[in-house]
Amino acid sequence: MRDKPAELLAYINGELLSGKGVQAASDTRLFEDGWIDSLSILKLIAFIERMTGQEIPDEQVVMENFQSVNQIAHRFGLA
Amino acid sequence: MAMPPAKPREGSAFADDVRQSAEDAGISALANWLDSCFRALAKAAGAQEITVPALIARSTLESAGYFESFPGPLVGETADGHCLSPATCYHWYAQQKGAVIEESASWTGCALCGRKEVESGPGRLETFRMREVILAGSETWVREQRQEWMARIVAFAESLLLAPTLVPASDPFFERGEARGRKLLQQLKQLKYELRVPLYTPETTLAISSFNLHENFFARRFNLHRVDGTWASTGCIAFGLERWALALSAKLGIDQARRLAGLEST
Repeated sequence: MRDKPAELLAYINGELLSGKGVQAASDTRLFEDGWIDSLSILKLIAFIERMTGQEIPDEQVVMENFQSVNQIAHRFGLA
Repeated sequence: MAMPPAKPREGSAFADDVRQSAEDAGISALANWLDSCFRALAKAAGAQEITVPALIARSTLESAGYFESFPGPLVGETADGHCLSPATCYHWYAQQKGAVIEESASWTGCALCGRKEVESGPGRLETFRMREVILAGSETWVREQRQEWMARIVAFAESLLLAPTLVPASDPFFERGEARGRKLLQQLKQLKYELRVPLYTPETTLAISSFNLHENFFARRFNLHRVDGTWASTGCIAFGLERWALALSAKLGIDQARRLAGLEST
């Protein structure tokens, strides 16, 4: 069974980046190369909310929390 | 015997109207002066001056995706599908549609704009003048230029004693569907900064300028490329002229503000 950071990374690569010709690693900066668009960020937030069972307030959607899979996992208790 | 006309008493509605008219005229002259300052700063930074029409086609705003984020009514819409633009830079995008940006460059223009604001309060006008500096070219250049403009305008506002603060911001997007995603991306990537100044009290601040990175969002919609075939990156620096004038007047009083601007006092 995959751990949660691996599950999140698989979702990003399999769902959000599918067809874009790129694959993220756990330390890839997700937002600096335009990989995640305005629809994908909503899907990403919804996926993290389902994993944690907690709503993410808009004010927590900042680069410090979302820069990479590692940081998302650390910030939202998935690590 | 005919009675002499009543002299308006201090505080009467008539006196209030006269005072308001004088203040409006003073604010308007101050806004003109501020515009000349921003125009001079833009020219000194190498911006090319553009002239813009009075109205913009609704279809241009549709191309820009404006209604996906701001579905509210337009200001001054005519029967043939034109209106006041919500921002000056939409005129630039309409002019540049399909262009190849050969070298990173900037443009400046000023337009009468119109917005149906959701919130009300001082400085939230339905029609207002907005000078903008539009940046286009490589992403790195646009980002660096925005940084330079932020430093330049903070220094300018400080020279006017406005006690400015630069804060990350996001547009008041319609908060559903993809528009919410755009708002969150804007916030996450710090695509928008606002220059805010205290208005009457330290706790009440007014945004008088914004510094925006559009990445390639509008380039995709208006087909703007760089010479190497990649999408152009764009951004803009916006100055709400009446808001600047109001802030300056509130800080110094209209007479001192006008003296600072080299204008006769009201």
